Amino acid sequence: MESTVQEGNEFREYLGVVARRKTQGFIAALIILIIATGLALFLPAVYRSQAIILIEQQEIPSDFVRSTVTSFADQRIQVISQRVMTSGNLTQIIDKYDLYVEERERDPLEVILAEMREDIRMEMISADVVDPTSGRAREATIAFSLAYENESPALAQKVANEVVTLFLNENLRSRTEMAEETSSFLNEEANKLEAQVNDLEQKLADFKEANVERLPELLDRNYNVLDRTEQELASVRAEIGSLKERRIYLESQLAQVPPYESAYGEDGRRVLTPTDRLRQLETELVAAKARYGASHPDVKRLQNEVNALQAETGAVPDVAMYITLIEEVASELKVLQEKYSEEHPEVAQKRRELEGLRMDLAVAEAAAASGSTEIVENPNNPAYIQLKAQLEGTRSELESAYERRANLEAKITDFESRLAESAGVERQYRSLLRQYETALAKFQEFSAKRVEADVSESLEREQKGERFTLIEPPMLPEEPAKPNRWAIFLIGVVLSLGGGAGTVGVAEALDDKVRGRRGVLRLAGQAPIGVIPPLDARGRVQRQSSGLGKILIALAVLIAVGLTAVHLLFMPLDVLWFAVLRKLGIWSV
Amino acid sequence: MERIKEAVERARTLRAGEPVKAAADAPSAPQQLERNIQYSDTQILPTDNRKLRSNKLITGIEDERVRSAFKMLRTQVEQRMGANDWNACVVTCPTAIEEEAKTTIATNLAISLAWSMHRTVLLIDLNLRNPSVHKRFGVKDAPGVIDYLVNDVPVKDLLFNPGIDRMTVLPAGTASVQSSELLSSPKMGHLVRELKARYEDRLIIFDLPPILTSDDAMAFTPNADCSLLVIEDGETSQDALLESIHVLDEEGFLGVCLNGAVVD
Repeated sequence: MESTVQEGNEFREYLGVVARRKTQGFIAALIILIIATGLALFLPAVYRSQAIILIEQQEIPSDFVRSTVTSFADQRIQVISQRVMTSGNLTQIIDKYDLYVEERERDPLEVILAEMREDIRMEMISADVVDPTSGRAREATIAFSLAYENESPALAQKVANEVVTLFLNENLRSRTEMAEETSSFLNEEANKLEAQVNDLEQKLADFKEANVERLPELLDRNYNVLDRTEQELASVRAEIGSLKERRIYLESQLAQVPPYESAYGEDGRRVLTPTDRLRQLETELVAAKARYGASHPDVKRLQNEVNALQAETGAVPDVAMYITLIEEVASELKVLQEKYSEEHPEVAQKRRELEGLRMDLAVAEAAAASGSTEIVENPNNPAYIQLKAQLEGTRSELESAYERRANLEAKITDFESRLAESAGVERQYRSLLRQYETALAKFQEFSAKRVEADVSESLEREQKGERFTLIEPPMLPEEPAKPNRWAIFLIGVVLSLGGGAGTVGVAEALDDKVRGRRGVLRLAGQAPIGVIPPLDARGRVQRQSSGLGKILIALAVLIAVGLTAVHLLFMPLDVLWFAVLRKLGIWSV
Repeated sequence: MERIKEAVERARTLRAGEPVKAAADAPSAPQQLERNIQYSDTQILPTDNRKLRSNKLITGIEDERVRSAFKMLRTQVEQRMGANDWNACVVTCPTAIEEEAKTTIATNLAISLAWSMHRTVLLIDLNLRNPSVHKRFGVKDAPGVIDYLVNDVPVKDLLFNPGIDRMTVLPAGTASVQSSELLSSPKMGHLVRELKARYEDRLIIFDLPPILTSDDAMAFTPNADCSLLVIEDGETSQDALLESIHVLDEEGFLGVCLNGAVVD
């Protein structure tokens, strides 16, 4: 019971407060309402012309041609926006269409440009898509709108058009630029690599050339060759051995066969050929040398004869003969040495003879070794001729065998050294080869990329890549976009109520006066001991002007203002009336 | 009425001492005062009701709301003063805002008290700078306290009867700039003591200037037994109210009288 009384009192107190402050509240509310209505009615209309640009995906599937333009659409749009809305561009547009006339007179350029940037509205339009690569839902920008606001609808449309054009052109330009840059970069790189590859190719070729036999590829072959060569050498040596034997055999045979068939004289005796005579003389010479010494005239005479005959026949002193004689003399010497002392004249003589024979042998061997075979003039002994021929053949075979042996030995040496060097060569070779292959691989990779970039570049050029398409060009606005007059008015109403209430509240809070019994009770701690009603100048109790009249008047004003606003801003009242009736189903027209 | 008076006197005698004797020992001036209680030499005829009403005296106001309001105030004041055996009450207010109301209430309280027929009432106007009580009764100029203090005019010559039984008024007198000093002069104090002692069942109501704005008003208050603070609804600031209460002696503070408030 008490609480309700208390609440009732409190409520009455609030009413009292409101009643007391109603004037202030109403005034505040009215002022706000009037301002709001004024704004709603008199704010200049702003028209907006808007264009919508769709971001279309690449037509050619990206598996075939991948675009080199990789940034997100939002990002690109922002970048384009920055490039388009430069001071230069905007100033041009302002000048062309003579915008912001008033502002230009009083504000600096930066302020006007800022205002223009504000008037140009760009909004992204996104949709939820499923990311094809990850399968997750994602928000992607699929389009964006460009709009321009101005008080004149025609200007709004024109400027919007300009801006849209700038945007689209810039987009195209920047895309192709990006693609071009990519492909030119790749080009450069590919070229560099190509040069590198060529260089290495050349090095490799040079190396191969320089080390042609030592290349590891030839290793096996070289081994084989070496083997074979050594085998060949062995067989050649054997051949030489047998050939030598044959020669010696033939030589000895030849020595025993007279070159000429014996010619018989009339007396029946064999005619001595000069060669035979020579041999005879030689033997005599030897004996004479031994008996008389080399300086004896007879010996000299014999020597001359011998020389002449030798010159005539070209015969080579018979080595075999000398050898035999040496043996004979040597054995004779021995006998003598046993018999006599060293100083004995016979011993000395024999020794002289032996030495002389040895010297002659040396000469004879030299002459024989010089290769000149006996030049026998017109030998007619067939056996002799045959043997001679065989001997010649054998000698020449021997020669060629010697040659072959030398060749083979040289070859072996050569191959051995090749093999030795092969190891080092192999290392170098492999390293070069690796470098080359690497460079080649890189080059091929870049080449492939370059091709791709080239294709992508043409993709951009022909606008087959992602592109901006104007799907809704800026239209001529018929109705203003701003201000929303009705909204302003309604907000004004709300604000006025709030403002009124707020004013009342604030005034009340700021009030420092004592009010009512409660006031006294609160402050003094006790209720007033007397409460005297207010008396007017005439001593009559002042009537509490209920203020009802004022309230009614204020309400009437508010309603009037409200209706006027509705009529002007929203819908003409008669139309509204019928619309309401229709809604309510009363009026069926 | 008389019986009550006697009873009170008897009680007083028992408690205090010899009031009658004191009365007898008092100089001739009090004697003259005594006489003046019943009637005054200078009779003022009450003016017509309309005048009284426009002076906001309840003698001229017939509106029951007003009368009963004052009746209730009177009852409260009587009770408290009676309970404490007080007979001198100061009616004051915080600042000049409430001054007019204060005089109205002081005067009407006195009248109401006089009407109650329990006691006699003496209303003393101490607004020495701005005498106002006599105006309420339709008197243009009236000598009063100042004249006594400054020129030693005998008090009996200064009192007047406003045409209301059991009520006497001592006006402030000729306005004086020196009012401050006068209020706190020893002569003033002496006068009060005298007036108080004269008739113990007589209630004395002092119409004191606003206490926050004049020091001497404050200095005067100890001369009285109790005080009543008048404030104006919606006009008096909360600070002023608090300050006033703070300044007034707690013991003798009767309470706040709220003027100009809607009576439910």
